[in-house]
Amino acid sequence: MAKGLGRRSLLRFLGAGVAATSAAGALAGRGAEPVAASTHPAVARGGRLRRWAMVIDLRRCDGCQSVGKPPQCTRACIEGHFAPQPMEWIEVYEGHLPGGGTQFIPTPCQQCQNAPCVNVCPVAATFATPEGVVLIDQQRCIGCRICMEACPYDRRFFNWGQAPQPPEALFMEYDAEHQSPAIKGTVMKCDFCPDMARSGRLPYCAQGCPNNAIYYGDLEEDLATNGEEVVRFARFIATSSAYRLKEDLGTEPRVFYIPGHGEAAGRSPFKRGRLPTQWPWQKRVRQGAVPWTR
Amino acid sequence: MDTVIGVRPREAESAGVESPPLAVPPEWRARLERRALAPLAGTGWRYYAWIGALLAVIGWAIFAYARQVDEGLIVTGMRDRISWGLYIASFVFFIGISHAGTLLSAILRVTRARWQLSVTRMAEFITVVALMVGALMPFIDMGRPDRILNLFLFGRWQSPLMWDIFAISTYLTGSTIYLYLPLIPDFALARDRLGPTAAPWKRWFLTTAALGWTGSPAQRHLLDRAMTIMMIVIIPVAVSVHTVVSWIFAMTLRVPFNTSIFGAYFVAGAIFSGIAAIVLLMVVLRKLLHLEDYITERQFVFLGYLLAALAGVMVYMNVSEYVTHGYKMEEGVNFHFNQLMVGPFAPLFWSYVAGVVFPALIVLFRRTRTIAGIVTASVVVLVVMWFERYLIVVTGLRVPLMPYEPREYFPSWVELSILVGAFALFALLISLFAKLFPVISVWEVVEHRGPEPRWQGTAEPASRAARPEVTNP
Amino acid sequence: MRGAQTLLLALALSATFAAPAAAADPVALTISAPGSAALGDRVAVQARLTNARGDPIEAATILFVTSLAFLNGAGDVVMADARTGKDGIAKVEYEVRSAGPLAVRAVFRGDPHYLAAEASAEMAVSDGTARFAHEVGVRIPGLNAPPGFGIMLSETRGPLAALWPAMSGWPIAAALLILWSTYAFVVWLMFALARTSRTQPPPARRAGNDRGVAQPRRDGRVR
Repeated sequence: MAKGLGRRSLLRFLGAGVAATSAAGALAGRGAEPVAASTHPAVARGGRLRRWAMVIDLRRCDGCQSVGKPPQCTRACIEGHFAPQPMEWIEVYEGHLPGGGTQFIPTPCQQCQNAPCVNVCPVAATFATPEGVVLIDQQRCIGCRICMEACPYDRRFFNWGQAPQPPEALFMEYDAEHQSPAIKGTVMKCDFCPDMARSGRLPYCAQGCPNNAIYYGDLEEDLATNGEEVVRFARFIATSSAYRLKEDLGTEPRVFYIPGHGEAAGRSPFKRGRLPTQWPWQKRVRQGAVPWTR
Repeated sequence: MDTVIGVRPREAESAGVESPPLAVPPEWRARLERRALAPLAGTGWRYYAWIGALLAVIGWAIFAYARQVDEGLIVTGMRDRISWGLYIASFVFFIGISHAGTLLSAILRVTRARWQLSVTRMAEFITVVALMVGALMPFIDMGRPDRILNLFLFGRWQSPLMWDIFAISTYLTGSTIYLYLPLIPDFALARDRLGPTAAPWKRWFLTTAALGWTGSPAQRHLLDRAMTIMMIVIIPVAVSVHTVVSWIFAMTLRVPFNTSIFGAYFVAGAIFSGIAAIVLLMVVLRKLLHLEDYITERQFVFLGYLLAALAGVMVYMNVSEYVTHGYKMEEGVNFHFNQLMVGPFAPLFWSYVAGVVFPALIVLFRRTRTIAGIVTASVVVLVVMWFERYLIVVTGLRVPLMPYEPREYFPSWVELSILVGAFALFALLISLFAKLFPVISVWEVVEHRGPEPRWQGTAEPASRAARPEVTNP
Repeated sequence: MRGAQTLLLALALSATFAAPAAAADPVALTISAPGSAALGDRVAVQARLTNARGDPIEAATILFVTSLAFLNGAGDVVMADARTGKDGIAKVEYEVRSAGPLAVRAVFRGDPHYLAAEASAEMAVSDGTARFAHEVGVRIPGLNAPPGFGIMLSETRGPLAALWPAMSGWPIAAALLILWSTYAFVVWLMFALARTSRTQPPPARRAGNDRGVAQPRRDGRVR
């Protein structure tokens, strides 16, 4: 059925599989033995499963105005995943603040714990892993798009046609965590990069951010890092007055936001606008691939 | 009035009493049978031409669908932000008008109303055909129709779409049974009248379908029992069908959908559009098959009353919905009201409002309370109810979820072709049904003396010239 | 009983802490933490800050840090912070979520009057089961979740959780079963109807019935 990792084998892999965590040796810290030094995927020391979550510090996000480029988190995600044009799996919205200013809100899939998309899918093509990551099995998806109706964060994207992807994407073996090549007639979205985290790396968006605004963390061990510093997750979000998007809807997302408008990067809230996202392979796409506007 | 109507043969025979003759003149009855069985008896060139034209339209729709399967849903006007459009709107519309049969055939039958007996068959036709066409639309909307089996292999009962599948398949089965049961005596009639001279296949078909019906008391008893069970069961099934159809919207967190009124709102709209569909079919078949004696102004006016009553219910539902949300103006409601009432969708919305109120006005005044008036009202209702389904889907999805510019949706030629093809398919199936099954329930009309309560004995029934008193129950 | 380990650390520390100019005084910082804990325990750690003469220093912020590595980041993770009271003691309580031998350090960053200081204690945290309760989907308190089910971070499932069965599809299955059984019964009635035509003789013709219902004959001929 599936080439490479299918959805069932993925779940088996997550539950009891074997993957080397290569970066273990490099993570030696002072005092304690590094907890990433585990041979089990996505587990903390002692075999407890990781529960991935994110904190996005909006004090540091200025929509990449200070670097004069389109948002780098989006760029890194597009390049890392070969996200088809025009999908921005992490999208930087510019929201209006009371008082007339704006703030930039990088919005990945919110990985809701009460995910409306998981609840409504008729064939369980969208599912949540034990790590709490919501994934899509594009080989099961029937393209009914009720999940897109249900998602309140505009984070799901449909392959209306054969989306432009670079030739490299065609050589990848499809699995739910590497959604390439894109399958026409199915839904795609941000997958929270659990495969990166399992091997001790940050997701593409966190790596790409020039201001280190994106923290990726584990709710089980209660830690998060943006590559620069490690923080205690619960304390970090409590002391920074973090909130979640559309909390009143009860979706219980795993992505937290620290209020701000890029002041840590020196941005004034009245400086509007960001550069539009680019897809680097706009010129060398597959035969017959036609982009569309979202 | 009951004294004029003869005792039913079943009761008479079981009481051991010779059944008094029904006051149905044989010529009247014979004419009814002739007219009802005429389509089964023979087919003219006009019928074939009509079928041919419909097949041509359906063929074009199939071509459009083939383009869609080949290139993907990009050939439609739908995009990420408005990811449901004409297909789902039409799905809701067709499932809605399928409530026609349930209303007329089941609800009124349960209350032992009699005036509608001459049109129950047509209503049941609409139900079955509308369900078939409606059930097709979500499959046309699927991005991966080749994976349709996944619904059965991996179906999740927690999903509103699976509820749709359960409900629609249950309703379709129930409606088919409920269509078939009253057909049994009519098939027997056709078997007896047409069988001897018909082609062998036709004779075989009629004989098999008639289930050996002889009108015996035991058989009558079984049929009555079966019909009573079905007419009671089909009502909650029908209500649940359109409720679960509404829940593919109401189970999401989008601003205009996230309201609990959807179930009732959709059921009311379904019955409303269903009545309009019956009226339209009635006027067409009445004209084509010369059924004016059996489908009189009385049926139209009574259905007009029902239409007006349901218009009142629709007004109530809409006022309830809009006033409740408009009073508070939660986030998103402001945008929604703007786009709906003063923005790009204002023409459609206000036509809808006018179209809902229109039947009530038609029925209010005696001058317009005619067949022509009620048919006009029904056509208007059908059009604006389709608008309403379209508005629900498209404006609902257009409300921005995050800070982005709202998108526009325009159906493409593929979607429009398929919509027209769906209507053509509807007409085709109705035509086939009308060819295979008598469009009027002969035995019931005879038994209950249908719409003609006044005349007695051997007097000539009211002719087309003399209008019977429509206010007589 | 918790054993207390006390480590006395002297005075002015490394250049990482910006030592103010000459007027800063040295301080003494002691830390007291449990020597061992189980995963998920709320441990109480306290630190005492005194000046060179041994008088307690009030209203000084003490950070309690542990050095941990996570993904590709590593460093001091601030577990909690507190201000010293009149007695110079800052107390914190936090839940340990990392297993293994941990070095818990109390850090005083220094201020214009005092130099920075640190104190360290070893705490061995034994492994345990997961602390974070993760469930997917719709949880209805009282139906498939314990009543009063809360959300988020340190939620652990109490004993009641085991009593509530997962929400099953039995209401839908029951409704469908009832409906389709009814249909099956009706179809059975239809078959019974077909059968009676073979077992029952047709009703005899009666006089005076000519104008009545046309009784079809079994041979199919029409009168």
